[in-house]
Amino acid sequence: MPDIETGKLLAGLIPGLIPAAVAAFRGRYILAVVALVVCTLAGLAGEYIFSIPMAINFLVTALVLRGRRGKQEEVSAVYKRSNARFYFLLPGVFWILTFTLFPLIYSLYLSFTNARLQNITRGWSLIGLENYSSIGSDLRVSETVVTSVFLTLGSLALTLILGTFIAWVFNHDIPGLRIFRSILTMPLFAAPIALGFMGLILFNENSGSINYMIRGLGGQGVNWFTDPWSARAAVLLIDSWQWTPFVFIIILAAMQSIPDELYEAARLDTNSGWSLFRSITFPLIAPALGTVALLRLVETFKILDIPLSMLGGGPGTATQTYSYYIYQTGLRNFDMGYASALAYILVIIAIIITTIYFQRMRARFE
Amino acid sequence: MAATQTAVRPRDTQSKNTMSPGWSRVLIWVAIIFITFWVLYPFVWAVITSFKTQREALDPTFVPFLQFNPSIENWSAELGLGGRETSLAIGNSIAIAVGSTLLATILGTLTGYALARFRYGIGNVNVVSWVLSQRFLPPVATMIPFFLLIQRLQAIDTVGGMILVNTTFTLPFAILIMRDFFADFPEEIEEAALVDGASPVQILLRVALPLAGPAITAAAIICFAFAWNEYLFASVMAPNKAKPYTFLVASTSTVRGVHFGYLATRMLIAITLPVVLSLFVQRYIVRGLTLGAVKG
Repeated sequence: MPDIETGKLLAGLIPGLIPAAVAAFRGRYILAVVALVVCTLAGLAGEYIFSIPMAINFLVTALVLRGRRGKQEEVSAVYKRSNARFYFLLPGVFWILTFTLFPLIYSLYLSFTNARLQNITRGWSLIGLENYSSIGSDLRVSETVVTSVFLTLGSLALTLILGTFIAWVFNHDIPGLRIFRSILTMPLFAAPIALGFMGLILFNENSGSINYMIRGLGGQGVNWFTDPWSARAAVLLIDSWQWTPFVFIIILAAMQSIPDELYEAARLDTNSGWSLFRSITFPLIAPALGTVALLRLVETFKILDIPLSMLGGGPGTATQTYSYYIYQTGLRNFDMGYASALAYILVIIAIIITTIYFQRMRARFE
Repeated sequence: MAATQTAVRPRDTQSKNTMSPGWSRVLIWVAIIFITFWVLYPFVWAVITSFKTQREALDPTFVPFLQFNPSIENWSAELGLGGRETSLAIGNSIAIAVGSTLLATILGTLTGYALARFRYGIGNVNVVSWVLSQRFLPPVATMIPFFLLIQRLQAIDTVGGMILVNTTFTLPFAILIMRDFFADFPEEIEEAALVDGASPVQILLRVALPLAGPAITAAAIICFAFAWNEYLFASVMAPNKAKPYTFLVASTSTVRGVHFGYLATRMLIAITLPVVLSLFVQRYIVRGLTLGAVKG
């Protein structure tokens, strides 16, 4: 244990005092003491960069702690008043806040520095917006963004169309639906990193069975691994293969909740299957499609494991996604400041999508 | 696209007064067979490949015994006595996944129960949004701070460090699955216990938890699968001693050159456990994977 420096002690104490004061003001004395102690320890360990996120955590926690009493009339009064509700809620919320807020704040700070692993011991300095301004002139960025957008939109379109079609097929009173459903959801739980290798085996230009089948049908083998767009398509196909079942199970659930009477009534007007789908099925599954599209959107622009293991980002850099580029810059080349700036752009996109999502979902979680 | 052509006749076959249910029924079953084949084919191909030697794996042959001689050499090399690195990595994977699953399930059950039963001044829906936003955050964006944090804690390349990381990623699943379960669960039983003078902790432990078994199992399995499948953070934070199996799989090609048979074997081992476990939680898959956004 190195000797305690006054500077570090203050770096912990000062931010810690704020949540401690709020907690004490609200009559939560234990929390106040815990906040002060934890923030001080965080300060001793890493100065402001550790203690400030901690302090924010405790501040939010202290605010959560104010219970709205008398709101839930139907539950008995003893339960309402009980302090137990805070002990139930807080461990999980605190964990999430610590490990979500801290990284977010810390990487925002890093994005304004020239942090590298090499100067981690000597410390790094603030360089203002330099990292952000160099993003514009970075050719790799536009390249990887193209790949990411292609994969995201391609996967979104493919999984939604295929998933809806499969859901429609299985919405026909199929005997043994549960078994089929179990089989179809198997890809969802496979490790993406392993599925990249599955793609490597399947799409291999000589020994892979995809080209074998294409040749069997009279076509020419596709250069999956040497042609940039074919390689991107191969990654897209593996990703869509994994995630189509996700769309399928959600849309199937949505279709099954449509009452049969609606179809019976509509059949008085038309017997065309397509107009039934367009006028009844589609409008009623549209909200579920929207939800699933947003969830998929968030997931697909994170895509990184499959291109990484399948082709190592190759041929050349054709299958390197934007996330891949961040990973490589920050954790392979250890240019952490620049990588954080790159990542923060992704964070902003994530925040926008998250906001849209919560607008839709608010009522569901009330 | 012949497939979309069949899509234009929804529900014809279900209705009692349809004219020709026979043909559409046949088309539906053709589609079902095709879909099942499409989903299973990559697995089947991987299994076939895993029984090939390095040379045989270079040919696109399908039928064992007729087209190639199946050999278990890949499987025995991986799981037999020679596979010390493998057993270590599988051990690490299990330790990391079980550790983080336990933590996430315990914390998630408590928080999920609280969010379903009590009202908080800051608004329950806001708490749920924070929890959810963790899942919306791109992992690469949080990796560098996590790396530096784990480094400060001197937990690089330890199972403990990986448990911490994975708990963070799986906790939202546990919280939302449990919140959903308790929210749908009638409160009357708990109220009856209250009248009998039970404390909140007693109610949770003696009344609510025993009934929540299936939901807890589902939450645990989903957390386990996600922790088991995690690769990115492991590749940075657990490169040696605490290396999980996904990371070992990822380094296959560099160790042995391109050996498709061996690669297929490792790939299958990596995906088997979560895939098999998922078969037991079918009822909760929709809610679990959509974080409660869709009731399945």
